[in-house]
Amino acid sequence: MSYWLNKTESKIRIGIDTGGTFTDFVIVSEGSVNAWKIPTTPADPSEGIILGLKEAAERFNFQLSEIELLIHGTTIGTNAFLEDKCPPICFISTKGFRDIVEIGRQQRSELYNLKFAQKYPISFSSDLILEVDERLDSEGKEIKSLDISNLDSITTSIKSKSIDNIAVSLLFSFLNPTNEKKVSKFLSTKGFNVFTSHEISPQIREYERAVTTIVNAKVSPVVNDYLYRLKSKLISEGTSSPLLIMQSNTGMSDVSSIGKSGVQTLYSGLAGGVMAAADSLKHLNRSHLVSLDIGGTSTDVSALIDGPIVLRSRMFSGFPLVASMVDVETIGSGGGSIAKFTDGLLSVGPESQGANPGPACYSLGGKQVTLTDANLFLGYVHEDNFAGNLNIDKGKSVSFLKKLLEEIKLSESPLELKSIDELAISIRQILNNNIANAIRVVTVQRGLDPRDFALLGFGGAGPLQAWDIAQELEMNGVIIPPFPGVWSAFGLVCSDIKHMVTKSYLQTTAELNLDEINSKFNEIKEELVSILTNESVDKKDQFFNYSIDMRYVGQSDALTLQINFPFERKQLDRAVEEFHPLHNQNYSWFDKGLTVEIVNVSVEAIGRVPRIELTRLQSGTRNASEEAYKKSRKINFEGEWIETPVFEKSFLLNGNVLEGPCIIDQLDTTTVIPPNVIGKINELGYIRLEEKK
Amino acid sequence: MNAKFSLIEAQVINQALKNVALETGIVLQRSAFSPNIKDRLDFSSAIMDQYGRLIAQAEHIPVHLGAMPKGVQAIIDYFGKENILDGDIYIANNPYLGGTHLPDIAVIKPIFYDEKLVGYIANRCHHADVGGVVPGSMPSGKYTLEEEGYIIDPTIFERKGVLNQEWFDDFLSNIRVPVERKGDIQAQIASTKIGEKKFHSLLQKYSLDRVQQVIDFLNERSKNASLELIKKIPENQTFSFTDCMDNDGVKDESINITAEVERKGDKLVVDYSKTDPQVEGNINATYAVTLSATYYILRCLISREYATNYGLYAPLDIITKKGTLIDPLPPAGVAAGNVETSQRITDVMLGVFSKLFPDDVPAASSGTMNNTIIGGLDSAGKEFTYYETIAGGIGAGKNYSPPNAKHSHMTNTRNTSIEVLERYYPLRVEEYSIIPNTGGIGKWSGSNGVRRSIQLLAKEGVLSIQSERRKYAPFGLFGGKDGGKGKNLLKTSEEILQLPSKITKKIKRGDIVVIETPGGGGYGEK
Repeated sequence: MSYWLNKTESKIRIGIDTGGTFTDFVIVSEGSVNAWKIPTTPADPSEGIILGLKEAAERFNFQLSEIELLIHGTTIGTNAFLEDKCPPICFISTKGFRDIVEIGRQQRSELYNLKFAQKYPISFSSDLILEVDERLDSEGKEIKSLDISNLDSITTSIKSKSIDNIAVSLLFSFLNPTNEKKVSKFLSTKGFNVFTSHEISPQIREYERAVTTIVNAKVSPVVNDYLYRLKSKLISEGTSSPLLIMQSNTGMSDVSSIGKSGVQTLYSGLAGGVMAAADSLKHLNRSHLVSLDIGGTSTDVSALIDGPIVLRSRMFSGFPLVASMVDVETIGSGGGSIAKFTDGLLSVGPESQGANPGPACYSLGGKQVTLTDANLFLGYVHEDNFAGNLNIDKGKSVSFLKKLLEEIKLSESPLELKSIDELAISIRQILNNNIANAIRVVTVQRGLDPRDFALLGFGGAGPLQAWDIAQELEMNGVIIPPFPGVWSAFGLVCSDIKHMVTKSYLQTTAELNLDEINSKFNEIKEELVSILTNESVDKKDQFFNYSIDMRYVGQSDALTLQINFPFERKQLDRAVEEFHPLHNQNYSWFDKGLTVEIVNVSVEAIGRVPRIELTRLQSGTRNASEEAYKKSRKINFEGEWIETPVFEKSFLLNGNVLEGPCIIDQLDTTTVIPPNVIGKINELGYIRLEEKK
Repeated sequence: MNAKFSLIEAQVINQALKNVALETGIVLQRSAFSPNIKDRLDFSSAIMDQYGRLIAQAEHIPVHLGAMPKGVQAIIDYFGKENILDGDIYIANNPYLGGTHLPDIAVIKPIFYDEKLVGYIANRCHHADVGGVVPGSMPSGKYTLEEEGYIIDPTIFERKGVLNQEWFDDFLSNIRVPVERKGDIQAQIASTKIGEKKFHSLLQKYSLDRVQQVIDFLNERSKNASLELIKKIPENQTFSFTDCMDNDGVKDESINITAEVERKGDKLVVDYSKTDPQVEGNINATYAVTLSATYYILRCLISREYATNYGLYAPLDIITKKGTLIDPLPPAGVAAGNVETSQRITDVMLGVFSKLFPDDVPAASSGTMNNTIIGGLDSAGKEFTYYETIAGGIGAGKNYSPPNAKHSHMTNTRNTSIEVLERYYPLRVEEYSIIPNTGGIGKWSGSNGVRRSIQLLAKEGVLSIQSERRKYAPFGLFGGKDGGKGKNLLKTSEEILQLPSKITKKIKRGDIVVIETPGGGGYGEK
């Protein structure tokens, strides 16, 4: 079954993005794109998926059996881990080092809290942390041979606690996995599901490698159960289509390959949005974008340069994971973020009213002012814009804004605040400032300049806030994609299959043995070829990228350079030459007198999936047609109430230029074009906002 | 204060100030060379106003942070405000001129705007070596400041873009592993330059007046929060507490630190005058370190909602007597004052404040950073210096059972990964584990310390240990038992030697250094 070959016969490709509130579906069929949304079923998201698929099939008139390909972004493993709902596991380390995970990097979680709490990926209060006697030296040579005699009795006791999953991380196993393999083999024969550190994260640093292995061992069974359930349901509904899962590394993987690498699904739910932005880069022929996905409770931002930025390691909920993961930052800012006044300072979020009770205007008992209330009051959104069967009451927004205003006026702070207009504007701006700070994390803190990037605003509230946020950071314009409400789900249907393996390989460039490094590359490539082949990727659709991580000897951080395979002497010299300026660009200094060493070798395998072509809009005149104009409403821009025309997106044509102030309505999203800003529609239905000249 | 500004400006400028400190810290970490800064994160950054008062800081190392303003004030006093020019960059480490101990080098850049001095960007990094008689520049015992390492009086490092090459060359030729020092100091310089740029763009966006108004407002806001806490303390009543150091590494005698605390109206007077005189061993803590430790306790007791700035600390009136352990006179050695004595000053503060706020203040934590330095030559004949601080147990509090094996109070540096350590140094870690039952029992028990055993693989080396709580245990509170004491051992092929709290000693191939760190005190009777 080679699903990327028969695209001529193929009919329907569907992206399914399970979010906290809604499950979004994007249905692509012969160039047309349709969207569907249903409430997420948190207990078992697969139920909602099946229900939504059936509804969409009825609405858009197709059979489930016609589905050619399903791509899914899931948060099942992420939520199970964060809510501590993964099945318990056992952890095995080298003798003398059972506590490396509990000690961690010995840092306390909070600097100025006398009663700080510490989070751990595993429970230590049990006898589930075990040791095996063995030791490798720093070259990977065995200095104490492996003794697994104690494992036999231990396994019986673990069995009695009905533990099925075991994580094994031994010292220096990234250099020599023999002992981990032996332990794994022994435990496997006893019927355990074993996760070894050399398989999941063969890199130096025992704590980070152990944590990655543990998180993986906890998440993988949950993800596998869920995917098995989903797949069975799909089959019983008559869908035999392959099911691909979005991974943290922004590539897809067949369900069958996820198996032991559940850690790769931790950013599955967020990677869709980033990949949608990656597709926008191609659509717009641009190199730099920041994706901005503002939802009900949270906002995700990510910087892209010619594609997503994938990190070799990153923090996840306070735990360092050494695996390829997209550089996306999430903060608690969204439509439901609560505005709060404490001793002279107004803050918005991270506390959120969520969907229930939701903003005050939902009339579900919410008694706090939220961003949505401010936007409704200011006219940015209208009662009719809300999805779902809600009884939207603007009066409630107004009365709670008034209450907050009174509270502020009663305080003795030297603040200037006259009206609820001003308060509502302040709420918007303070939230925008929080989001701007999150964008600073993925740009400024990574040594990138936000002024080089345009801001791609999507998600329910992205198009409402994007312009102001971009102004704050002096970004290079704002772009709204064709279907902002479901753009993350759209990203799922635009991705390739991707697998990446990084292995420690420590050697100075001067002493490098080319045959050795090439055989290392080859070894990894062969592993990846067999994964792609298992996933039915045709040879001609398989592509491989090779890279090395380099640094000056004695440093702790490394930089990545792409190389050609096989690696030759000339290339090595060039890589060293290129390293110095790259180092300068990243760290503002370089020194050609220092020795450069290689730290890791990586191979990335790509399985190409045919691109989706967006339907092109008809060309229109500069002015939008009469039928696009819906009505007008009063909107407050920077303190001034202005009668603002509202346009319907579906009637806008390629080449239309809308002069601000105006509003563009579509499905469940609203794009705001402020005064002195123009919005240009392109042939793919993107809206580009720029200053009026 | 009659200034009027918007809700937006107050919050946005508040965030932006913190961002300047944070982002200069990130630049510093990114561009630093040595593992001590890049990996262990032993550095701090902050912004001061034109008088050298703290405006904003990033959350790094508490012992550095409290001392930061003193470092800037020393520059102002040393050169005179009128001689500080736009484009200058200063460098200093003299503990008697606003410093902490010699390895902590401060780089300070005055910020000018419209030709007016408006503030300073400063950072302080612990350098793995700054010369002196032993590798790591933290010898233990009877050493003067000069013997400890290279002393940098406030020095103009750069003026009008021109580097003080003469000074830099002299410095680099007097220390070990100059390539590391050079890289790290360059990173410190780069970081202040980025900080200046960021501070400028903030001023450009909101104007100097407006930023100044918000800074004043934020200080006032923090000060009020501080006052609110202090006003809970009864007036004209003295609360005192005494704790002691094991010894000074020279004589085997304990040294007392005493604080007497009394509220007088809007002031909280913290008087350390009854502390013992300074000592021969280099555990004397400079005044800046004493400030850091005293500020710390107040910072911990006030919600993080309020910015860390001079306003927060304004109600504190800190009194010391010159020539005492916590405000010594030169040329007394101070290498361990910053890392060890600072922890005891914090314990004394915990002791006093536990009488004032028993529900909020926990028992003593390990009370030492267990500084371990091993230096020597590797098999290729190259010099190496391995420096580590080792975590211990944490003190329990009301409704608080603390986690095991974490750094407490004045430090929060990371450990060196065992695999990284063994790749780069001729050392092998034999064991790294939590020692059970070292936390003090109580209604809520203190948490456990750790054992880190390191074997020397090189032919010979020099071991320096600066540790505490080997003789006098971390105290429990309200009936909770004391935490377990720490232990330093040296296992040679012939014997197992018990080492004192502080020692500098030659070691041989195969010797194993075992550091067992103290547990935290318990809280409440079990």
